[in-house]
Formats: sequence, structure tokens, C-alpha cells
Amino acid sequence: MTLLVPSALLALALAHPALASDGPPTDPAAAPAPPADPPPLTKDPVLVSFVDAPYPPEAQAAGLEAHVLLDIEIDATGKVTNVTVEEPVGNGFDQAAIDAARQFVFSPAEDPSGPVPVIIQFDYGFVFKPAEPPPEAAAPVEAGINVSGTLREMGSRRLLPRVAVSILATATADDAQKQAARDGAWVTETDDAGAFALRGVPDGTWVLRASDPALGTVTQEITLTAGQAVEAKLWMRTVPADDTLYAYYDKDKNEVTQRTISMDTIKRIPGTFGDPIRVVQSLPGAARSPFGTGLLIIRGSNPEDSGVYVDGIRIPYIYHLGGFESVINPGLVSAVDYLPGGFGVQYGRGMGGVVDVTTVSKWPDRNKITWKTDALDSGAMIQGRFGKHKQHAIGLAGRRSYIDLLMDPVLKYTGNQGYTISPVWYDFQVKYELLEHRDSFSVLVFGFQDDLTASSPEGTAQGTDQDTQGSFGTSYSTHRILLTWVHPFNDKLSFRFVPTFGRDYASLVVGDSWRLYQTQWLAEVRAELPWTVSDHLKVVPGLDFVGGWSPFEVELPFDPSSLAETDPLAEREPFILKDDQTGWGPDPYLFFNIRPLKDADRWLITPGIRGTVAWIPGQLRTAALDPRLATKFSLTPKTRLKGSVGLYHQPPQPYQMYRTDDSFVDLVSERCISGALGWEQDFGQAVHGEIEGFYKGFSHLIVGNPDFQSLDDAFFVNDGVGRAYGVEVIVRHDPIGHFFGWISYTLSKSERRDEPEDDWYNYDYDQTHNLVGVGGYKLPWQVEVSARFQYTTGNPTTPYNLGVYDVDQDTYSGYSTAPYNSDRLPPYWSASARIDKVFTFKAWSLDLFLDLINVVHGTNPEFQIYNYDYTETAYIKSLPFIPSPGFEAKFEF
Amino acid sequence: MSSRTVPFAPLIALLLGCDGLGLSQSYQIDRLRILAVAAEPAEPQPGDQVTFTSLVVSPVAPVALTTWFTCTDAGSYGCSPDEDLLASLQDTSDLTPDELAALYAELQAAGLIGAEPFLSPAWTVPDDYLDALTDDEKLEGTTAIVTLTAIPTVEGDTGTLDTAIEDIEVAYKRVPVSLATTPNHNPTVLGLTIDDVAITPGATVTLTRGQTYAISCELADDALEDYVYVNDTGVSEDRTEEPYFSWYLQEGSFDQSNTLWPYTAVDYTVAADATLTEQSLWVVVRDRRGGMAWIEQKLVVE
Repeated sequence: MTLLVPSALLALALAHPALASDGPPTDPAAAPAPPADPPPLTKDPVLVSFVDAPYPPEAQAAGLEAHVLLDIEIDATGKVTNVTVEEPVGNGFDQAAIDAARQFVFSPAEDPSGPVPVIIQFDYGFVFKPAEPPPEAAAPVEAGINVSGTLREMGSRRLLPRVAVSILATATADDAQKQAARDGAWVTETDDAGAFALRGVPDGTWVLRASDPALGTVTQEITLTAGQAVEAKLWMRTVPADDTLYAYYDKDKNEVTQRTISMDTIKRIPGTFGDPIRVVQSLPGAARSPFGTGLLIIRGSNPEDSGVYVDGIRIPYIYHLGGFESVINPGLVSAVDYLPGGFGVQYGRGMGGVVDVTTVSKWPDRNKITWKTDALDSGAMIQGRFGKHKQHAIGLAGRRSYIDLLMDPVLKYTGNQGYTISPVWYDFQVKYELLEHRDSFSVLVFGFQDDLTASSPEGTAQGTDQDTQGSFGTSYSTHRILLTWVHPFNDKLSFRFVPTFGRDYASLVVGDSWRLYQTQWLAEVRAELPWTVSDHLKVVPGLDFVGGWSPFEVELPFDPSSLAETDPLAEREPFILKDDQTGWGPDPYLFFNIRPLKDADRWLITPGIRGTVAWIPGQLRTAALDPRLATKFSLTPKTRLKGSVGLYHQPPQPYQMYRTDDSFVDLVSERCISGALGWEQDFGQAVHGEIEGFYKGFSHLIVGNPDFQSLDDAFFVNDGVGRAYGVEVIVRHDPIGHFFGWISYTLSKSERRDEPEDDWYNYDYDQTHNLVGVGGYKLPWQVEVSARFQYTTGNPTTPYNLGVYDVDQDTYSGYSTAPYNSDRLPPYWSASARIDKVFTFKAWSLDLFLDLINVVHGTNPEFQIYNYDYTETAYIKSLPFIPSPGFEAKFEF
Repeated sequence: MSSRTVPFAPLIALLLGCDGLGLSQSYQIDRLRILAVAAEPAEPQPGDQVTFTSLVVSPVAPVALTTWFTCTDAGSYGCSPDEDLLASLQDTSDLTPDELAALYAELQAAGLIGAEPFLSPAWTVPDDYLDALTDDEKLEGTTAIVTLTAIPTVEGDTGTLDTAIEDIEVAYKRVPVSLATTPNHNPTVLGLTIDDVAITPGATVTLTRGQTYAISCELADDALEDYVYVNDTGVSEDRTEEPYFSWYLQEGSFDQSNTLWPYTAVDYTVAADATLTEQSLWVVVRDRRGGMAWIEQKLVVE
């Protein structure tokens, strides 16, 4: 007899069709519609017709049990098209599970464009049961139900269906009772409501047992007396579904180098504070950032060259103060796409990489509350559905730091009493989504603010400049409202419209004389019209529009036009400037997904073109065209080749485009030509490898004008050039079974040249070698351990020979006979570890974790500094060992 | 829009300071240092002769030679005399008096205005120094740069131009030249007080190891000058100087190495393990207009 266990209903993870190697190209969602391409599923497939697998005779004879992990491919109609075994278990279980699963029928998965094909992982469990007792030993037909009850999952109180329930003898039972238990064969399974009932159990003390290979086992002693019925409430401690580690790489997106990691993997990686964006730095192509601040230095580009998107909309700031955590609560992030280079025309205005954060779009059936506290902040999140048909879904999240509360005692302890440093941040996100509707509609509102103030005791001189005495304060914030509407005209054509409105703010105040305030009001729109022409062609025209108005105010103790700041003897004239800047840019784009072979999935070619326009009326006007081409070819089912080449333009930054006299700024967009070639190889079901070489040539880089003398001269010129090249390697083990992990290595070189006649110099974050290893292992008792190791070449630095004393200013200027960045800091290496222990109670669960950041590490200098006259040097070292405990509590109702 | 993050290093530096990194403090005099340079007059006019004095301290090796050059167009490191010309100074023993005179003339043309201890620094402002300026601009004037290089005696040698670049001390100073109606003057330091007790100028003070003393610098009444400043719009403004004080010592520590007017005092803690029984303490006053003065206080540590 075969029992379908509830674990079979646990699709461990869903692979979107566009992520699958053989997802039907006819599906509209399989075609790229980035930056949210493919759109997240709005509805999971649901098993509507289950087929019982016959118990393999040899396993039955040997009394064996097993669970078979299957990959089931489901087409857009819900029909099973293919079934493969992830890890064979033998003894006839594999084929039996495959044969049964082929006959399953599901309700179709859906994304905003409608039904889509998917691949799911399915755990088919086989629970051994003794042979049916002979008829004469069976319980009397007329016997009544005298043991009944329900089975619930601890932590969520969810009723568990299709779990085997049986009656066993107690350990102290006499032989007669043990024999009665064997003969009685009181066995059943819970129904869809998690209820069970057993008939004819004799009086006495028995063990009521519920068991499932995937979920676990629970037992409870019951005593039947004088024919009284017993009603039992069983609670089973299971492994929560969202604790399942799962990561996948997209094989079929039009982005040839896209690395996607699910949140469940991310939150276990040590040293990241569970932050999704910081995990990007453990992947190939991303340089190590100082102090673990998470600066995105991708393939030799400047941090400002890379873009971070939230549901396709670029945001100006990635991290809260200090760079430890990103500004989006990880609880509302469902996936992070990392594109180190060669990305398509859907992304513009950047020469570096892209990190696209997708907020949650798979909503739980039950309401969820999560509370998380770690060393930096605390936050809560609520997710739920409401409405007659639960067609409305909403998620709310918020966090607040409390470092400011800890800084005062720290400063006192370090002998800095009287000084104050108060870093404070908060963030919030609200997302609403309309479900069960032909059109897809959602609203995302999010915002964050960071403030930092520092002051010193009165009368304490901070340097000798009277204008920089007193306090220091900086603040920045971003608020956005983002609407997403997707309207499917039919299964071939849909329209996606994402208008956004928001405000950014930044301020800097030093003492009484230095003030900078800037506000930016932004309106952005993305419109796309994906059209699947045939199985072999898809066309996606789109338009990005960004427009903004930015008032700002600058107050300085000197007039910059006099360059007085360089001469301490020059009298200082207070300088106040109030102005505003208006600019806009419509960026159209068009790309094709061409699949030229009969087997459409084997070869994908994605040509595209994008226009980049930046226009500040009367001040700057620049336009550029970016043709790009990417392709991926499946040499064999396990081997893929890929390549990309393209042009990338990045308009000048706002501060580079400003002129006090409103005259025209003679700048054009910075330019990068980028090419990459790669090879992907699967080694079995769980292990995959990838190697990719890249080259980037930068030109028209904006650098300070070396001939600047007065405001009549340009502040900046397009004279800079650069180049970056290297090889990236990654070998990863998917989280199948108990282990997940990867080893990532990047060998690269990045150089710059500010003027044509200058020599090349090492880019500030040029790191020749960058090796990262990440791994996690699930132990029994809901314990999980993980570790991370990193080795990186030290950053370039410039050695100084001596200092020249400015007698009037009482300061030394460093003098070097060596070229800029011609020396290097010692290499960086560090290892971090983390342990998680989950406690599951009846109504909630608690994850206690201890993050041991840099538990072993090298000297790890981040910067080389000199003493006052440049005759002595020392290193500012990276973060020391930091134990960071925390907890996360989850409630479901 | 760009991706930004807040620099973390300044916070760490603020917490640690240079003390935490084991680097020497600027107020500790343990090597050759040029601490101050004063021009007299502090703000000359064309045709004036300017003399210079300097506060050069060298607790390890005496200074063998201090060269002075002036220029009007300085780079980031002050005046940069022609290297070939400097190289010709390496061996002058075989030069005839005429050749020496010619070399000296050549050096003067290159801006040499002093070579202590042989030639006291002095510079005559050319009569046409402000001719390129308008009459209004002449009131604010322009600046000349003076660069001095102190070369220590190394291992018994008297100091040569071959001395390693790391061992020499180079400094530069701006000299404002103008027709200002209220030209600047160097401030006058009257003396020091220790724990509110005035110290007789030139007297040696005895202090106790490990003790902390409040030391204050007293300025003459006219040290804080009122002056007229013509701003960019041509409007004259009355202003008053706001000087600051830089403090130096050999052993021990200050609670801060600079004090800004009106704060004129520091807490000085004598090193508990002081190795020098006779020490000095210096204070340099800058009026932020190029005027400078200083005082040295001899100490005995018991």
C-alpha cells in the first residue's frame, strides 16, 4: 500500500518557466520583460489529481521506506510533460514515483500574463506499512470510532493532511498487547482537514503515532477505558517550507550572465546580516568593498556606475549608514538578480553591473507576522490576504536601528566622553497586490531615512579651521510609490506599465558655515509591450522615461569662484547659492528574442538597441545609442556557451552638469564597450560550473578639468579612459539535500588614465584575485551551520616619501616620488561562521542565530594612513571579530 | 542618480584618532621640525625689505643649513628651484671668488633670499610687484611664497644637499603684499601662565611627573587687530582677527593640540615616565592673516 504523504504537496521551490532550460518559448512569461522579467508567479500550481504509486515489491518485502525528490515539468495547461529524479534512491522507488507523477494533473501556474509552464520539485514519499492483516484479524466491521483527533503543524497550527496515523503498543506493554497492536493494524491517514479516526481500539494504554518521512514523527500516549472514545490533538514539529534552502541560476533568461539567489539561501550566509544585496559580493565579478560596506564595484567599474533597482525602478541609495544593511527589508524581498555585465537594453544609464531586487509576489494562504532583531536593528513584517476570495494581498514591513543608543557608552568606554555620534535609520515598505484577476495590479510604497550627527565638547578644536568647528550632520532619504499594471491582450501580447513618483533628499552640515541641501522630485515611467510572435521570435519594445526637478541650497564660508579655500590668508566671503535643476530623458529600447533552431530552447539570440537621452534645458543635451547583442547556445543538455557584446552609455551625474551661470555644459555621456564569453557546465543534478572572460573599455570618462582656473572654465572634461578585463569562475552546489555552497574566483585588472598623455594607473579598487567560498549544512534538530571565506588582493595605494609643511595652515601635504596607486595594501582574508537553531512551538517558531563575523581573519588593512608629516604610516584595519546574535520569530494565523 | 554609501572610515578615525594607530602626534617634538615662520613686516608694500625669522627645532641633530627661496608662482609644495642649479651647489670648494659670486647671483635670480647660518633671510619686495592689479585690488594685494628647507647634520656630517629626502624638512609660507589701509602685524605673545600663575619670560619652570597643568597663552592687548576688508562687491567691512594657538612639547601630552580663540589654554600632562629632565614647550600663534608669533618655555621635570 502506498501512502501519499503531505510532504509530497510541498513543492520545495518553483522554477519559473523562463528559468528552466526547456521552458516552452510560446509562453509569454518566458520572454524577457525585464527588469521584472519574468514576472513572479501570482499563483502556484496546485495538485488536483494525484496518482498512487504501487509500493515496489522488493521494498515492501524488505520493509524499506523512502522519499524520491522529483523535478516535474508542468505545461501551461497543468499537464505533466516530463519527470526526472533529482537523487535516485533505488529499490524500485524511483521508477514507481516517476510513473505515478507522470499521471498527476495540476492547476496551471500563473504569472501576471496568465498561465505559464513551470518546473517544481516534488517529494514523493513512501511509508512502509505491514501487509494487510488477514481478514479474521481485522477489527470488527461494526466497531465504532473510539480514537479520533487532528494533526497540526507546530509553529503554524496548520492542519496536516495525508499523514499516516497508527496505534502502537507502549514500550512497557506486555506481549499480549504488543501482539494486539500488530494484529489490530489500526492505521489510517489524516484527511484534507488534518483529521483522523480509528475504530475498535481496545481499552488500555497505547501510543498514537503520526509519521511522515519528510515531515517527521509525533507520538502521544492515550488511554482508553470502559469503551470511552478518545480525542487527541497531535502537534508535529516539521521543517518549515521557507527554511528550505534553494537557489537557482537562470538558464533561459535573455541575460546571459544572470545570477539569482533566493532569500532563503541568503539569510543563512554569515556576515551579511541576512541582507540580499550584500550577498552579491560573494559572487564573481564583484570586488570586495572596504569595511564590508557593500559598495558595488563590479567588473572594475566605479560604484556609481552600477545600478540597484527595486521592482525595476532605480533607487539612489543602496545602504543604510555604515553600509551594513540595505534599505529594503529582506522580509519583503523574494529574489535578487545580479548581472555583472553584458546585460540587455532593458537596463540603461550605467556602465557597471545591475542588481535588481524583486519584492515579494507569492503570498501565503495564511497571515504571517515576523519579528527580527539583530545587532543593528529590529523590524517587523506582516503579510496576509483578505477579501471574500482572498483576492487582496498586502505586506507591511518596517525597521529601526538602535546603534545610536549604544554609541554613548561606547564613546565613554573609548575615552571620548563628551563626543556624540548618533546614527539613526529607519525604513518601511508597503505592498498591495490584486490577485485572482485577469489584469495584474500592485502598488509598492517604500521609504527610508538615515541621519548621522556628531559633535565634540565645547572648546575642543577640530583642526584649525574656525568654519568647521562644532557639529557634523548628514541626512539622506528616499521615498517612492510604484504602481505596476500588466494587461494581457491575449496569450501572445501583453502591456506592462509602471509609473513611479518619488522624492530624494540629502543634506550635509558642518559647523555653522557649511550647509548643503538637495531635494529631488522624480517621475519615472516604464512601459513595455512584449509580443510573442511565434515559438522562435519575441519582440519587446519599451520606453523608460525619467524626469525630475531638483531644488538645492549651498552655503559655504568662502566663494568657490575665488578658489579662496586653497589660500588660508585669503579673506572668506560667505557664499550662498539657491538654485534648481530640471532635467529629463526618454530612453526607448527594443529587443528581440530569436530562437533560430527547431529545438527552440537550444539557441537564444537577443539583439537590442537602446537610446539614452539626458536633457537639462539650456545646460546639457546629450544622446547616445547603445546596440547590444547576447547569445546562449546549448551545446549539449549539460553544456552551454554564451557571449555578449554591447555599448553602454552613462550620462553625467547631476553635480557634473551644473553651472552657476546657466551656461552650456560641454559634456557627453561616459561610454563603455563591453564583451564577454562564457561556458556553463552541469556536473550532475546539483553541481554546476561556469567560467566567463570579460573586457570593458571605458572612454569619455568624466574627470576634473586639469586646466580649471576660474568659473569661466569647465569643472569637468571627458578626457578619462579606462579598461578592465578578467576571468570569473564559479562552482556551486545547489541546496539539494543538506548542503549548499559555492566557490567563486575572479582574476581581473582595472586601470584608468585621466589624460591622454598620462600613464595608466591602477583603479582604486583593482583587486587582482578575489576568492570567496560559501557553504551551509543542515544538521538534525533544526540546526544549521554555515561559513564564508574570502581572500582578496589588497587595494592599490600611493606611497609618500615626506610631507611639506604649510606654515600658514599648519598642515603637511604628502609628497610622493612614486606614481599614483603604484603600491598595494597587504591581502585581505577572513572567515565568518553562523549557526541557526530553530525552536518550533505550537503557535510560533523562533530562530536563534549567532553570526560570528570575521571569526578568524588577517590583519586586513583597508586604508594606509600617515602621521601628520608623512614620516610614519599605519593601516586602518577592517572590521574585527564581531559576534552578532539575533533572533527571528514567526507567527501564522 | 548614483549609488552611494556613507564612508565608514571617518567614523572609525574619529573614534580611534591617530593615538589608536600608534602614530606620533603633531604636537610631539621628536624630530627636526619647522614650527613657524614670521615675516617682518607681516604685510609689506612694494619696495619694503622683509626679514624672516623661523622657529626650527631639532632635538636629535642640529640643523646644518636652512635655505630660503621666494617665488610668486608656487606649486603644491611651495617654490621649486631649478634642480640643476641646486646640483651645482654640491661642490663649491674649487670655485674661484668670481665663480662663487656668479653662482650667488644666479641663485639670487632663482629666488634665493637666505642660507642660514651664513646668510640671514631677507627679501625686498619689487617696486612693481602690484602693478598688474587695479587700485582696488591693490588694497587686498597678492601673496609671495617663501620656501625654506632645513637640512640636519647627519652622522656627524655638516649636512649636504645629498641628505636623504626623508631627513630634511621643507616648509612654505605666504607673504601678503598689499597697499592695505590696515596692514597686518604679527601678534605679540606676552607669556604663559601655568595654573593661572604667570611665568616670568625666560624663567625655567619645574613640573612634577604625571601631573596635569592648565597652561594658557597670554597675548598683548593689540594682538587682535581690527582691519578693513574690501569684499568682492567693493564694500569695505570692519573685521577683527580670530587667532589660534598650536601647542608643542617633547614628552607628555596635551588634551588638544590646537585651541581656537577665545580658548587659549590646554591641559598639559607631564609624562610619568619622562626621560628628559630638561624639556621645552612651544606655543605658536597665528592670526590667520599671515601674522605669526611664538614663545618657548623651558621646563624641568622632577
